[in-house]
Amino acid sequence: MSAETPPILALSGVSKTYGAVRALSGVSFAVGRGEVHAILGENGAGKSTTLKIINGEVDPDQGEVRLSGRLTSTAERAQGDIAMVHQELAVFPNMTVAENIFVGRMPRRGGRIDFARMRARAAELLELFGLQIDPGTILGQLTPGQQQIVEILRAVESDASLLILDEPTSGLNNLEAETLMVLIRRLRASGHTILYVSHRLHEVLAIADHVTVLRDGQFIETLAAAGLCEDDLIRRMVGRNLEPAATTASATLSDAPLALKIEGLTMPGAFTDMALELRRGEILGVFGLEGSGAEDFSQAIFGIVPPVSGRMELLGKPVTDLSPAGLMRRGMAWLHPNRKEAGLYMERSIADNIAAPVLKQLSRFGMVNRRATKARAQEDIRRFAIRVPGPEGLPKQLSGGNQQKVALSACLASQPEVIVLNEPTRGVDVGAKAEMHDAARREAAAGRAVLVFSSDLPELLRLTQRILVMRSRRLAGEVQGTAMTEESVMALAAGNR
Amino acid sequence: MTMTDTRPAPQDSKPARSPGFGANILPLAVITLAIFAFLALTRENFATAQNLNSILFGVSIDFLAIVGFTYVMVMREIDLSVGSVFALTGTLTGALLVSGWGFWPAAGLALAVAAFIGFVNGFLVVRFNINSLMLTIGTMLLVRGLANVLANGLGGQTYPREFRQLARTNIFDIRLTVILMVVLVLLAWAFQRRSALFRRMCFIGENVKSATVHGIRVGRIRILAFMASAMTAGLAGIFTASRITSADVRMGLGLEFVMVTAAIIGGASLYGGKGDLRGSALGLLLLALVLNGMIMYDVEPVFQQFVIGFLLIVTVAFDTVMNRRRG
Amino acid sequence: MTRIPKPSFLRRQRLEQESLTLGFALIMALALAIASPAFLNSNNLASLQTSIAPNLIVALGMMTLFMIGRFDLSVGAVMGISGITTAIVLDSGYPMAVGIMAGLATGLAIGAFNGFMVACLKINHLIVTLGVLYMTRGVIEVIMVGAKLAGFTSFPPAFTAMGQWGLGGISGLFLFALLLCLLFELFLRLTFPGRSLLFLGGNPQAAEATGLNRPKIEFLAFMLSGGLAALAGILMTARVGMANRYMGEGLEMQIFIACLIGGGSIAGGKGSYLGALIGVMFIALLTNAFNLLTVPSEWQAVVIGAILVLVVVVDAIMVLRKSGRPWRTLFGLRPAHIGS
Repeated sequence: MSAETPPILALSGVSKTYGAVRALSGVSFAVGRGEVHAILGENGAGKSTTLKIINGEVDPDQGEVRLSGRLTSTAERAQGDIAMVHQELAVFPNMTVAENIFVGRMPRRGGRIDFARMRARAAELLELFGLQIDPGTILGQLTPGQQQIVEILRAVESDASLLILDEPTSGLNNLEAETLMVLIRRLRASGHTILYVSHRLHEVLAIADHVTVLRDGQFIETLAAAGLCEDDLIRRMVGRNLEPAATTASATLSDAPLALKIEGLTMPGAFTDMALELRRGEILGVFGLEGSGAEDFSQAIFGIVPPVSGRMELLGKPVTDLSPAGLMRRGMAWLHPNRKEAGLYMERSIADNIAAPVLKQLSRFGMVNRRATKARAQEDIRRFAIRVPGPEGLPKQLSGGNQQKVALSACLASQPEVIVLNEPTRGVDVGAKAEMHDAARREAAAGRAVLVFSSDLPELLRLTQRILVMRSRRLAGEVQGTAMTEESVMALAAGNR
Repeated sequence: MTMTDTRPAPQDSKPARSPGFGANILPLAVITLAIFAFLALTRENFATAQNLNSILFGVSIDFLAIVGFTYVMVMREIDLSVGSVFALTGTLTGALLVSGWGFWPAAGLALAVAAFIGFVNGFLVVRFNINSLMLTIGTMLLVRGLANVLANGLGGQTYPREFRQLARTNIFDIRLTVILMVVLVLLAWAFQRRSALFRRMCFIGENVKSATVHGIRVGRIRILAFMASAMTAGLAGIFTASRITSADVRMGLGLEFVMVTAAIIGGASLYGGKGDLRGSALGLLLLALVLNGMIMYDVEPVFQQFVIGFLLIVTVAFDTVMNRRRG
Repeated sequence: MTRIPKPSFLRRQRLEQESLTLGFALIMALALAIASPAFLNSNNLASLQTSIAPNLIVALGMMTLFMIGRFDLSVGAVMGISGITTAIVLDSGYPMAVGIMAGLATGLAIGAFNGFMVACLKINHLIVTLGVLYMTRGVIEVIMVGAKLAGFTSFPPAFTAMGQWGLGGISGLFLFALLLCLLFELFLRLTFPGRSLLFLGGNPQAAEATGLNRPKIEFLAFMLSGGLAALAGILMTARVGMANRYMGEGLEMQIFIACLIGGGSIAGGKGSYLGALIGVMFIALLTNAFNLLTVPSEWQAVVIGAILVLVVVVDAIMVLRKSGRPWRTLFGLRPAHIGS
């Protein structure tokens, strides 16, 4: 970067708070013209908030963002020449590849679209990036990876001075990811500046010129990528200052009876050949970065999306009715990862919410015992320290942490023997988080088996005795005991070995 | 345990929100009474025993059909085939009686046919995740066609005498269907207040994903509700066929939209999670009074259709504005 | 990366469903020609044209709505009331242009009402257009109270001539409808506003992100649908020299099904005006077959309803397939358990 030309993008002191959660505090870094600049960080480190601020989707609370030296407002950036490819596909599966590339900017001649020119230009772009796709192909016929590449080409075609790619490879297989790497190198060669976010460290090392690391909403460091290895990056993402995981008293569990056993579970396109053994009294973690298949796996073992093949044994007996209702009857319960989506009924009282999974136990001859329902709700409110005016309050009046506690108490209401918790502390504050963890430990101590799916790695390290790691829709490995560190888990989850 | 939650718990401890029903019974009853009083005071031939009896009789028959329909709406589904099933069941019973069947076998078979149609509706909705609004328009046309085939086959023959008497059965000088309505309203009240099943239905209607992860058998309950909807519509159809004494291709035409309107007026919502049979009954009564009042004021009877369409849009618009959740 | 084979012509032009329906229509026409000698009779061919022309004009509007994931069930009633409005205005001695304008304005106004309720107030389009169907039918009944069943029958000769001209035995109305269809198809294929209908239907959020104004497009599409239904009603009135309360009754379902089997989808993002033509032809041939083979009209309703159910189910299965559900779990052929 020479002194005369200002960097194409410069952030200084950018902060953003959502409610009680501090997403970013004082982030400052710069991106030079014509480079590939990667942003790294764990889940929740503040990457997506940073990108949204740069792209003008979110207004920062403090700090300034300069483009080529000029101070810009959020609205300007939303209009300006930044092109962002989001993680979720924003494509038109019913239109052709050419139309998808040129949507909003179709070349016209007279009042008509100049299809010949559009096709020729699309073919040129596809050729340039080594894709052998006819521009007239309907996009829906391509694989998700190819669709993603077409979406990137749309951003390329817009001639934006800055291209933001948010986790572009999360949905791609290795071959497609390779193609994308080639594409990015060619883009750089043709003078584009690219801001690149990915969990796949080897990719970042392979293509980035500079790497900026964020941790817990704070800027850590910007360093040149040349000469770095994956461990260097992991160490910076994780931080040295982390206390050693408060290992739970790990009694020898190997003789405890099996609570859940899964073998060869497969769902084409989602995950392949998954297996696990969960014993009573154990808290087992499953970790995977986005796109690893962990989420699909969790849904499959509760029968929400039925897997296609495999074996499952619950409390020593084979599962014959793989549906949520059937599994719950056999002593399993499952906490949904997103309480806004499922797990609560916002318009119904807390008492009703907690009673929902156990209506049968609470009723006689099909009639609900309302006194028992209320008493039970009061007991749970006390047990989980839920801050509500009373059992008749509505969940929508509660804070995130308290909502999550209601969802958890509903989940545990049926006194399940096998408990699957998905993202148990997503978006809750520190206090509620500790209470959720206590609840999970209490259940395990009472001889129940707990399976935790979380993208919050420090949480898993603190809470569990063993972690299964998924990568590329398969089981990548398992870590336990003293070998259980952020570095070792991330190496399995993000590595290329 | 220390609470680090920064957001204060709501201070106003409001009275219990109604669990999915009952919120607007009182205002609705007041409005209905007001219309009643208005008509009784301004039109002398309104408050005659004969007119009131005929309104109540008509409402009590339609009410039978709205029983299942209301509970389908509670689950955020809709069954637009009720009017056609109503017609088919009534006409089929009549046709079987004309051809010499006994009453019970005829009615039984007709109700079984209705149940089958309801099952098909529910099964397709559950299995293929079809929008019930869309699907039941198809079954509405199909079943209507079948009913008309039967009606034309009968060609205006009057039904046997015993069948014609059915709807006019009186117990202590009160029509059987009116008594049925009163009993059903009381049962519905208990059902909505106490039963686990009604709660499950509300849970499904409010958030089907939550209901699924809470182990409620969503598919099974949905199919049963569609079957119930078709069977109660069929029951009403049998009484109606008896009342009108001969096959009529216009039987039950547009009934489904009267029901959507009445159910929403009574506290149900296109967005699910709520519904009250008592309210639905009041809604039907309200509509009947409005239509009767129009006749009393010599408004062209053909204008009724306009009013029904207008009320449908207004109630749904109101429902949309009040109850639309999460975009 | 594997090479993607160049797609076939039909697939590239998105005319697969259309050609399938066309095939069925042709087979049906052939079968009819063999089974019933009256089919190729010039009277019958003329009546086929007369039934296709107005339906096609209405279907063009309906197909536009289908592309953006909406539909309009008030079209039959709009057709009726516009014909009657024109008839009333002509009856009161106004010039022909005024009569036609009055009819069109009625249709556009109803379309604008539908569009406002759906696009601006976000009310369910089925309920809105259904309520409007009822209201409009009610108004028609009120207007026609005391009128003869045949309705208005005396029109200026210039007006009826508009509906009855022809070229070499082919109805002028039919030619006009075909021309209109062709223009719409060109609009859809060659202009950006045309393409934007499909973009909007394919992925509404992404389309709005690229700068398309969704409420505006929806509103205009509903107005278009109302206007075209009115045009069809006026032309039909001119053609048969009658405006009565029965015109367009039950037409909405026929058009709806024609658009579905002509390549439209309730979910939006699919369809073509060529498909609307083919779908309308299919339904016209089906109705014609019923008439020629003297099948009672109530059976026609049964068949139409069955086709609708079938199409809706197939549409839903295709959506599930697209979301990646394998056939095995889709039809539940796999036993519910995966235990031993």
